[in-house]
Amino acid sequence: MNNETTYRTDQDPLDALFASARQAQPDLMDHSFTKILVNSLPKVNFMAQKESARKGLSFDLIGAVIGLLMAYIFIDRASLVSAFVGLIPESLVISPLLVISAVAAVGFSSVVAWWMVEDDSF
Amino acid sequence: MKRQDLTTLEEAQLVELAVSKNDQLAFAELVNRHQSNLRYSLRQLTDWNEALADDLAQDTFIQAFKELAKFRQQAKFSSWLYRIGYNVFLQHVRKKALDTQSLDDNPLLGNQIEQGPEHDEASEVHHKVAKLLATLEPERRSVLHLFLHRQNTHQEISDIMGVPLGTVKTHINRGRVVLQDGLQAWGG
Repeated sequence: MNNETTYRTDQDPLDALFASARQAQPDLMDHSFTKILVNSLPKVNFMAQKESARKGLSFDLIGAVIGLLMAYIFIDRASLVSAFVGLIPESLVISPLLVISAVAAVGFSSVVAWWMVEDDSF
Repeated sequence: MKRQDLTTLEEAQLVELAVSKNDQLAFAELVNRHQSNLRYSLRQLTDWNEALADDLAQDTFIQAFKELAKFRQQAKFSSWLYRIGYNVFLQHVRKKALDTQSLDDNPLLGNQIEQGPEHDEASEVHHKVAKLLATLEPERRSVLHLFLHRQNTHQEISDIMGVPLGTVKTHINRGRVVLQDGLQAWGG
């Protein structure tokens, strides 16, 4: 019995119903279920699947290495860093309006995230 | 390897045999071990539609066979299989828009259960649970089945179904209320 079920009591009719169903769960006879299933299994080449996954990974790694090399050769790192530095504001004034806006943005994002997680249609 | 030898092997070994040696008998042994539980679960989820549940179980095992090489040995085979089964069930629901009957829609539902003459007492319980679960939408139905019947933890259900832990808890809390109301409406 898991920890989350410790609040259950024998008096709860719902738990009692499920408990009796669980205790009376039949061992469903196989009959021809497995035979039909095995006959309809498709031909799967597991070795080819593994090989293809390995190849895919190798191509990804090769692509990443080539990309890094090209970036190292062609990108002017000094100007890239100075452009990033230029984006940083020289001063930042924390005004009440800024705080309210930040709280509103975080609050709104939280509500949207909660709604997306809880709403079944997503 | 002979069939009787396979019955002594652990599930991880059977998976390894099926994948590395393409041994269909090893997979058949896995099917033998899990078919009853999976078919029962699918019957509970499909309002005890035996033919449909068996079809979905067949699809589940075929899908599992195709993806057997992806099975991670650290996981429980039954959890992995149930995850595939749940996805197969959900795909079917999306295609066919399986009914989620509510008691308000069908007030005679309870009477049908009480009156079913062709069932013995034990099978009546299974039908009653299936009818009750059918009042819930499919995802919540699966969560409640895993929680109340299979007795999985919240975290296990979250892992099996691939839904957030908070959603699992919400499904359980709200689902219990609906099921309790339904049970009360049927007179316990």
